[in-house]
Amino acid sequence: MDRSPDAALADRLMQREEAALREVIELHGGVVYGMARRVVADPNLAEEVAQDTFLALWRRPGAFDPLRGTLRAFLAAVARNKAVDLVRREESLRRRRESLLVEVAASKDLSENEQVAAVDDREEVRRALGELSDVQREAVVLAYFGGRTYREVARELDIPEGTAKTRLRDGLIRLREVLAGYDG
Amino acid sequence: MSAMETHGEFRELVASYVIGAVPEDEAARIRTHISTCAECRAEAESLARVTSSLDLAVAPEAVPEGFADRVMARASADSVSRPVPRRRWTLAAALAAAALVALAAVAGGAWLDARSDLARNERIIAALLDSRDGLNLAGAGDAVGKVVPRSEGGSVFVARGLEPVSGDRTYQLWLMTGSCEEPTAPSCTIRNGGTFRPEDGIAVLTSARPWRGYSRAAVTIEPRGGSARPTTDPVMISA
Repeated sequence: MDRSPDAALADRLMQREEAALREVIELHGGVVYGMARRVVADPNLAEEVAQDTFLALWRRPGAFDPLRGTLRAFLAAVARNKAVDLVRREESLRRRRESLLVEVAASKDLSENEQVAAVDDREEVRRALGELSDVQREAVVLAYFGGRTYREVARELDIPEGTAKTRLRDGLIRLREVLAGYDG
Repeated sequence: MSAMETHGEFRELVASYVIGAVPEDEAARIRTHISTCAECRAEAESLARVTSSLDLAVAPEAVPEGFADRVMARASADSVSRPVPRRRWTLAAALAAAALVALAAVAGGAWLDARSDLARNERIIAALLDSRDGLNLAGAGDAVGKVVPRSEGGSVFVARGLEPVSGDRTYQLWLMTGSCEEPTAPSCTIRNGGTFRPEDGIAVLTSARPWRGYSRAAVTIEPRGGSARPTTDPVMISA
């Protein structure tokens, strides 16, 4: 069987090979930290989220299934969940809002490796997000990266709850259409 | 929402649910509806794929100086004290013969502790111990063990005659490649083969990990959860 690089790394993590974890951090640290920074305003807390993400992989490498997706996507999802949990838990933290809505430009400090691996699908998804109306995008980004419920989205944007639900729904359906177009 | 929620009302909420924007009390009701409504379930699965692709839209950001070192320090501190959880497999003893094949096929690289299924099947243990290929391990008293490569590419470790260990200790298998007359030599690479606790003195571990032509194998007793490297002298070792 042809083992993907992700599957090979997962095998080595299962054997608790520390060098494998370091490789994973080198490959995906930027994605994980970028996600944490996107959701959590405080850089120290963002680092904590990013560290916890890699430790979670170290403690339970079996949670990553190479057959179900890439390691990069897995780690990004873990980081987002941890970051959203944190901002939900710590109501005292100033949640990001303005900066959430600004597309963060790719950092110039990234390794070439990361750029090559990441740029295609990132651009695709960002272009797809650009196809949403402004109000759809705002609702989707607040809910997904901001961890807001539709009620909180409604309150923050001063719109009826029904409208918030509709914007989320229309936004995801539009995203699906646009992304399907890229596949075909 | 009223108690008389309709399919249409749930349908409106599926997207909010999938993106995680539904409060927990409502989410429970939506899950119940989705579990019985094929249309909503299909929509939820489809939108969930769309939603998770949003993760890719986030631009990577250079990690702070020393980030990798800080993670590695925590990971190393962790290694000694925290076990890597293993999945347990419970199959009927009657399936024991098939279990060796099935376990190795689904294990996905993790060594599995299968003793509960196989401990009673003395014939399989005996056959594995008698097989020509593999590394024979010998220990104190009656303790014998063997690491056997399997034709499908995985491997099996079996042992019997093992003394029980206390609750804060575990047995751990080590697999060596390179020239390992002296296991501490730099030319010898030691891999973790997994931790196990014998039952009635018997242990069986299977792995789908490819056999690597190991030159030696050993078993040590380690703190519960296992160690990154052997910390005690072997209780069993191959010639």
